Amino acid sequence: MTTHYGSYDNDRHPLAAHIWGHRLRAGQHWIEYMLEFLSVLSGFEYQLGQGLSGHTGQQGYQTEYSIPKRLGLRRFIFYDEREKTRDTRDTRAVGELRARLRQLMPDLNGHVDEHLLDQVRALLRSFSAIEEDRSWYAKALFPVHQEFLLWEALRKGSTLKTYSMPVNDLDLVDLDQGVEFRARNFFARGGELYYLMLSAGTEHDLERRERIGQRLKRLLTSNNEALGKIAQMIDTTWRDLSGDDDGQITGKLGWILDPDCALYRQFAEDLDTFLDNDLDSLECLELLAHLIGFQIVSYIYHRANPASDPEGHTSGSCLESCRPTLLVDLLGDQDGGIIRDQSASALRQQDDWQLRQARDLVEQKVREWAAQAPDAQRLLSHLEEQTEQYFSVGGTNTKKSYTRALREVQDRYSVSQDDREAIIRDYSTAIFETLSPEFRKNFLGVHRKIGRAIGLVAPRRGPQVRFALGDTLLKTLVMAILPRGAAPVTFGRLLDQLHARYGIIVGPGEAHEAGLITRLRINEEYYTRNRDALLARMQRAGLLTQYSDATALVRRR
Amino acid sequence: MAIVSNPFVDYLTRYTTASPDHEAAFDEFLAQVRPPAGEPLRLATRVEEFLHISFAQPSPPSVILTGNAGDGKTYLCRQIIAAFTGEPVVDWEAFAERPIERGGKRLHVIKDLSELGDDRGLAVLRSLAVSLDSSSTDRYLIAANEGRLRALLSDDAELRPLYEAIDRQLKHGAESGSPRLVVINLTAVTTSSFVPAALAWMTSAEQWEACLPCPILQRCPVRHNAQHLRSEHIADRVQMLYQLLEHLDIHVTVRDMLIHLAYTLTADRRCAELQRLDQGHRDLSPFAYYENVWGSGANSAFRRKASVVQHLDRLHIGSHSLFEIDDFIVSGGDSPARQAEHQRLFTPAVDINHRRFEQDRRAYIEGGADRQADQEAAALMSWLPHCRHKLFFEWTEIERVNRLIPFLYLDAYLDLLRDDQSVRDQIRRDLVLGLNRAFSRLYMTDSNNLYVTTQYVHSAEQPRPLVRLTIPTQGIELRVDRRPNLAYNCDRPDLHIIIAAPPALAVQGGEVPKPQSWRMNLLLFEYLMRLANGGTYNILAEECELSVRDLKDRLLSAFAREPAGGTIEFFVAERQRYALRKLKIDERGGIRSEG
Repeated sequence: MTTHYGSYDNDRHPLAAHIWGHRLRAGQHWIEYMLEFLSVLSGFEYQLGQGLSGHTGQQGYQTEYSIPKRLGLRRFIFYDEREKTRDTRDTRAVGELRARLRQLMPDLNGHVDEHLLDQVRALLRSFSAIEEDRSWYAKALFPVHQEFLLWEALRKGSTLKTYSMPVNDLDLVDLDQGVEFRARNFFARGGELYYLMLSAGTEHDLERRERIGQRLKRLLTSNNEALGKIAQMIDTTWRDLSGDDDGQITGKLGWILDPDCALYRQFAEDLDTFLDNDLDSLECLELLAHLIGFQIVSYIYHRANPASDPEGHTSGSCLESCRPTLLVDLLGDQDGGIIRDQSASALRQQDDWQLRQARDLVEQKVREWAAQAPDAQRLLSHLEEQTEQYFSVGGTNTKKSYTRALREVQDRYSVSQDDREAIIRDYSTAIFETLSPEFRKNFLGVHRKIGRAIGLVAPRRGPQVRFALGDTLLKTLVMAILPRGAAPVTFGRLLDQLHARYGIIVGPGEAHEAGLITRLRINEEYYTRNRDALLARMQRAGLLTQYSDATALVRRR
Repeated sequence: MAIVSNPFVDYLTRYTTASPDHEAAFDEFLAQVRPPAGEPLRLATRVEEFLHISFAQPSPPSVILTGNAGDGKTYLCRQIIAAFTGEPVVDWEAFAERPIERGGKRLHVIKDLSELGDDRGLAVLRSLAVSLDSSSTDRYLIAANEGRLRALLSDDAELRPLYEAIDRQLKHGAESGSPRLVVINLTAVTTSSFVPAALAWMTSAEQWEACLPCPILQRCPVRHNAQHLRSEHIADRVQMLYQLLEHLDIHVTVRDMLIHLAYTLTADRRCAELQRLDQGHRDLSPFAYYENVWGSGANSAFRRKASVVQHLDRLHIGSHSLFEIDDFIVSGGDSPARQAEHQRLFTPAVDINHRRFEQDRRAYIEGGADRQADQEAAALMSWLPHCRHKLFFEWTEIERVNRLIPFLYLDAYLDLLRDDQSVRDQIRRDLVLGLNRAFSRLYMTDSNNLYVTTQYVHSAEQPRPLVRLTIPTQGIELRVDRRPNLAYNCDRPDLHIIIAAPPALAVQGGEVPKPQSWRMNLLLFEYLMRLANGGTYNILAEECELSVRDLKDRLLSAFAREPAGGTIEFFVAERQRYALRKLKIDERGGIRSEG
């Protein structure tokens, strides 16, 4: 039985959403997962577990998150003469805002300080986290303070045609018109999903839920307060100026599946352990972005595993049965690249499994629907109806090929024929073929994109793409596994943990455990050298002390 | 022609022959096989003396010896038992079974904690813990690998007090412990202290008397090596290489040192082989000690196990050309004194293939009819690395040849360690500047303050590091720890940079945190000094960057407080330099620029 968690609407959805929740898309920048998650969390006043359906009417329960638009701030920082989508409305808005701000920043003698404004802007802009050729309203800042959280927006039609009406007569509030924050099916919602995972993972541990929320709140509110004040001041100035009294974006969450899944609990545990640190806030945020990225990738692999099924997720056996095989290559070209090749093939297998999972879902659904239509006469039309209700088929081209494929199936099986099995099979294939281009384009690339950004997948460009472990990711994972202040653990035990929790395979021990030694038939010595390479790296990184050939101990710091 | 063989050469090659069972029995081998002539090697170590005194007392302490394979744990155990019982150890097994009794004290000997399984190992540590608590008559002597010891101790929460007691001694030395338990970390011993004694023993005249009837007496490279390594100057140079490794935090075990020194002397060659090669008029210069010392010509099996060779090889000493040294080799010196020195150094001998080097040099300088100019050049060029190595050990102008070591700031480092006050202030400023550049990744010019900065490293724009801490350079001190260690030889002074809490913290009130101390080895020193003098970030980055980042984390964690007032400090590019900017937010939300 499929259970949804979050706010599920029974509507049509893309193929991937039915497996991995609503929704992940390849368009999302790696750091956006964290930005969006933190925005949602702050929009729920730093409480996990809000925004779920079925809680309406509960005292103090928030069904929707609510986030300031901060249009004034982001226009001030990002809109300038190099803007990709110039708009006369924005040019005027930013001019008005700057004029007002100049008055607020007098120099010691009370005169207008021209330089100061540019310095402030350059300072804020130096925290730009996402540029990537986006328009100003879609760029984002690194959240050194909650006032820096920007929610992705778009302006309808602005990339196609320029605004040609005179702007000087408009009211200032109208200059913000047309900026859209909630366009359905445009934005990815990876951060919402992460919020849901943590909420699900702390359903039975409210203490941890509270602790995570509070730690993140402190991270975003009690550091860099001066920067936060500046950002707030700029945005408030615009709101006062334009008279915009509706500065909030409100939104409902998406949904995930199998809320009892043990993996969500593990995510919450690891995040909880990680957040107990004394790092500088900027460093902590950077590692947090790595942790979130890594957990999203783990989540994709977990649900892509052929052994993934609702019972397993509920019982907790999924941690073992769906453990991925992340054979990490630390040797590169050395040793003839044997581990590298195997690591590359382990990565390719993850693509295959995601495709296979998608295919299986289509077939399983078609069978379910076929079972509801015992009447052979109506079988095809019933399947067609159900498909329409369940899957969003996509753009015009996809619709066309969908119709064409459908017609082919219809032609092949004249009504009189009663080969149900063949119909089901062919129909499933037809559906999958039509849906898979969208799946490949918008979903399949997610894990590699995040993986590259966080150092789980290397190289960034070029052939032999494989699993790796970057220094920052390594540090992050060590902090997520070892509690603060705990006694150091042996290197061997850390490797055990990395395997047990995340399926990371480095040395011969984990390779045995995962059955790789017998399956791949690579000499154990290669794994040993792979392990030694990691050991040397961790030693340089100061995470590990080697006491001699026999023992090495890992500590958090 | 009859072959003459010096049995001592065979004796030495036992050190260098690679075989695993040999390594395991190294200590037994050393103790039981006497050299053909003279006395067996005895290295007088402070730790042995210390233990002798300790165990001569009526109530000796329990002792834990930690160290790597080859640090002499077994050897010391043997000495302690001998001191305790008054008899040499013959049978280890007997001691494993039952404790040794003397004067109402019972000594339990654990020759190697790693050999026991987890359960037995834990049991031993538990009884050790018990024996410390009471007026127990049980004493323990435990040899262990530090990692293994720590891992076992941290398995059991009840052993926490013992863990802490041991941890304290491992970190701060045996003096910081109680008189009932002494923990000695043999990996802290500076093996370089024993290099001169070991070389003196290997080259002592009586071991080499057997050579006198040898037909190649004057042409033998091994004998040549023995004669040179006997010189105090050259032994000092070898010792200096070991000290260099120690400044890089590389610990060499006594066993590895003996293997390496024996190889330096013999290149793993036997008398018969050398006499045969000599008969064939072969060039034996590659067997010179100053080539052997880097392991040149060693087979790969030996290289793999000879850790000293691997470490020294990575220093690339003499592989780069330095004009004044190469010019001296080729032209023979620019003053009469130097010319005489050149003649002395390059007296024809087996290590420069007798007269061959001089012939090649003359041919290069004067030109000859029978060879092309490029051949002459090639012949001489191939001599250069060899001669640089030779000069590194033999030329008395040490400052000059030390430049063959690729550390640009080695002299400065050594001056500091010698407590040279004149350089200290400038170096302190340089290190502060280097740290400023390392932290901020900007080409900063201010060395009056240490700025601990933070920034978003993946910024799509040019990052502007925010200043989290400002610590005046006066609050930063370089300290050299020269305290001699009573329990063992540790002759390397440590350099620490001590960073006081920013004065702003004191102004804010509350308890001022203690200064942070950061030990700086030669690599870190070199990295920061290079940065301060215009070096780029990539050099030594792999070795040092994370360590510097760790220092930054530590400083922030110890000193950083979110300022109460709304002030932001950051660096902006200004004409010629990066300047500090301050923005202040006033109560009404206005922003003002300050400085």
